[in-house]
Amino acid sequence: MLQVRKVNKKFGGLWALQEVDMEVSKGNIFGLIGPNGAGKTTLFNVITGFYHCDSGNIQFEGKDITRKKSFEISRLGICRTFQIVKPFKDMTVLGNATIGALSKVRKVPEAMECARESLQVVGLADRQNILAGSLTVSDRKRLEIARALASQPRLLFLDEVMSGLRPTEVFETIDLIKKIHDFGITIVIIEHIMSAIMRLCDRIIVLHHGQKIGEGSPKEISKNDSVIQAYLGEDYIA
Amino acid sequence: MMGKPYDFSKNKKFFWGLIILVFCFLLPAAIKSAFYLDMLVKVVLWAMVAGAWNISCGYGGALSLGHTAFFGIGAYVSTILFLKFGITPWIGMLAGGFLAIFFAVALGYLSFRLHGPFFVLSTVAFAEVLRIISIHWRSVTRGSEGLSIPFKPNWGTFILHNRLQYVYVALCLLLLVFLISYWIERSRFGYQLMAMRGDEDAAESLGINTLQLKIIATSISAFLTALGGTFYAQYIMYIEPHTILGLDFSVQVALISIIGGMGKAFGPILGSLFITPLSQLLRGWFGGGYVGLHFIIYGMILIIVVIFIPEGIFTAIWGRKERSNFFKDLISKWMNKIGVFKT
Amino acid sequence: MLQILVQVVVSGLLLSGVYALVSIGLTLIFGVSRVSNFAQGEFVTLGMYATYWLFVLMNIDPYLSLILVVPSFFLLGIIIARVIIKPIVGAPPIAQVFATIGMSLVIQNVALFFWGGNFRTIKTSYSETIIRLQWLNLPLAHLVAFGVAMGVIFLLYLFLKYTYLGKAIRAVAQDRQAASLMSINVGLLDLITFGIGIACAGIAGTVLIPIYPVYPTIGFPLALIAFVVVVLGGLGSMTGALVGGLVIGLLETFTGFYMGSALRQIVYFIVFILVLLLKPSGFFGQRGSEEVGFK
Repeated sequence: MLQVRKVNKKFGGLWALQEVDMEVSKGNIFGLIGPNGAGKTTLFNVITGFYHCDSGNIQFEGKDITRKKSFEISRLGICRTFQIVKPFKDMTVLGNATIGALSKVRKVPEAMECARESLQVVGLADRQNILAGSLTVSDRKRLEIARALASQPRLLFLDEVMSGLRPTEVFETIDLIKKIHDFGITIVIIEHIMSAIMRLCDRIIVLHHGQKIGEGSPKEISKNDSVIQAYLGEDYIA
Repeated sequence: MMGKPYDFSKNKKFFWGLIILVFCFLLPAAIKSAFYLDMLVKVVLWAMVAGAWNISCGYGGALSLGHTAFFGIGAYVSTILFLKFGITPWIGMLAGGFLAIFFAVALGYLSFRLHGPFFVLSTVAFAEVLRIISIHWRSVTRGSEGLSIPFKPNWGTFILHNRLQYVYVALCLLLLVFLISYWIERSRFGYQLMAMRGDEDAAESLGINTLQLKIIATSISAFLTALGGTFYAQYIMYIEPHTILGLDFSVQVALISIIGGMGKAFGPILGSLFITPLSQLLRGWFGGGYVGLHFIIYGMILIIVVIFIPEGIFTAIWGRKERSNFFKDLISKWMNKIGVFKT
Repeated sequence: MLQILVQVVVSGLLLSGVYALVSIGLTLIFGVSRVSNFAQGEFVTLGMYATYWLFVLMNIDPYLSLILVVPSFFLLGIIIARVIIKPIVGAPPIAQVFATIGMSLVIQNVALFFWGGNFRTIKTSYSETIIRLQWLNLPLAHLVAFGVAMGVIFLLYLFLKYTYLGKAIRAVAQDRQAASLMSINVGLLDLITFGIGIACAGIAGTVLIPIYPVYPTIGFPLALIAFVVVVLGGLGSMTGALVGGLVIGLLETFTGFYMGSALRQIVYFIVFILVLLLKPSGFFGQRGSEEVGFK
């Protein structure tokens, strides 16, 4: 579904991404892990058009999206959340989700229905008329997911949606991601919470200093020496 | 509120809207005094222009202080076409509108690379350049002397017989702007505009082409503002660069919209109802030796409103449940902001 | 021909010193507090008026009045920063823009109200003096303006580079949060920087009044030019403001001489468009420009 080939990205003198390859198959849940500063969010940004890579090639469902702008990529069926959530603060929860829906649906009432469904899925339906600016952090993260969901993506990028959450909230989010996956949406997640990654992902890729240092199933990764050295510290088997 | 289902049935709202509309059209006929009719024309005109500003800046969040450029373009184009070529201003109005759109698009592509204060600055710079050009291009605009339209009343040439007729034309223009704003608020376009105002990156990630949206909103705004410019020229019958291409105009337009409530169709109307009579009265009281006093007050209102009540005075007062605490809140907010409570 | 060229260049340079001074104040304020002071030009106007009245009422020589102008404008800057600027640091752009524009409106019209719209000039015993170097005309007032401007800029440079306070200011400009974690009182520095910025404007006003007449709205075009200089030189960059000021001053004088006064008034604008199109981050700066969005 998504092929990322030899992507390079430089900021000034720093190589944020070096010759990164990634392949996401349809219907998978794909994990992207690595220490802080490894380049994970940068990779997200490059794929979704917020940055342009210096060299390399990105293909989505057969189309070349390397140089496309972020809104074009979104319309093709890829949607993302942000590490630091970006709600539309002056709009209600429903309003936020409606914007997501409006990217695929033209009429506002229909979009609102679509939005309501997304809110149901993430569990925010009871609070649809509250201003997004007054939500708690964990609710804002859920809103961000709902908003992305409402845009009916085929590929969803989740950037650290579980950071800062309590353990119960983490479990809820894991269930949520599974539910979304059951809808047939391919998911790529960046996460630091190992239990979640191991439980959810079919395949994992590990970045360190902008380079890919490992790829495989959760079991393979947890046994990969260079990964353990760079990141995990101890074996971590789901 | 975005996304909130309406509290009352659509029919009731439509009914009330109609009543208010009829009232608005009947009321002017009852006013005999030239002074008050003139005031009414100005209130309606300012509400209309502020409403146009609100479309690109209120809903879209692209703060412009250069809208005087569009106003001036509208006024000059229709007047020049009329005086030099005999083209009726009713058509000239449209020509001015389209030229304004052209400028909006061209300048938009340049200015929208900037954000925040520097975007605002670029809009100011563009308007200022237009003003300087109009001062120097004497062959066309007669420079600072300005252009006069001879008073020969004729509906065909948009020179009306009395103030009351101007009020009605102005009301029609205002209605146009209001309906457009009302429609925008409830349309996909409007939702996306407001999302863009909220957070551009997030909006882009949801398929919104922010540049295109900004340009479209600004074009609509420019067109409507230019219509207002033509109206002004036909009402005052005299135009010159300082009044219609000056920063003062831009600031007043923005001020009206901000005070009344940006991003709401009614906001500019309320704002104009408050500000326009105030400015007329101030000008009247402090005439002669006290030139500029009303601007001092404007300036201070601007500072206060913008720091403390970004949502607009009317939304703030009317929207709050505890109205009595409004001023208490205001003072304590200011004290907080300057750190009186810091240890 | 060459002589005329050199004359034009020199005239341009002399003018640009003042542009640089005003712009440095602006860029300093922006670099540290991320506030764009739309009223910067108005403070130059105030400086001109202050010097004018000191001369007319108390016969104080304009250059001597710097002794009074500098500290009082610095103080004025701090007071205004406390009351008006502090609430808008970090506020949404609309608040910043309109608050400083409101300020500019108030100042302009207070000047209009108290002192009328007439052009006022100063004539001292030496304000008409022209120093002649062979064929080169160097008006004394222009020379002094340039000298003072450069002197102040040099002093500022020393201040920022070698004093503790100066380094603290640079730290805040680079990373506000980190600086506050290093126990630097960021809020106080906002005030001080604004005071410095206003003092620069005041000084510029003082050295300008022997050359140009003052009237209430003289600040506005100056403010626009200062902004273009800052964008050209790079937001937050002092060197940029200096170089930008020189470039604009030269350009303006050139176009004024060779192409007429109409074009002269809008050349800064053409430069602005070119910068936007070609290199939005300016010569030297990137700092702060991400927040203002030069993607």
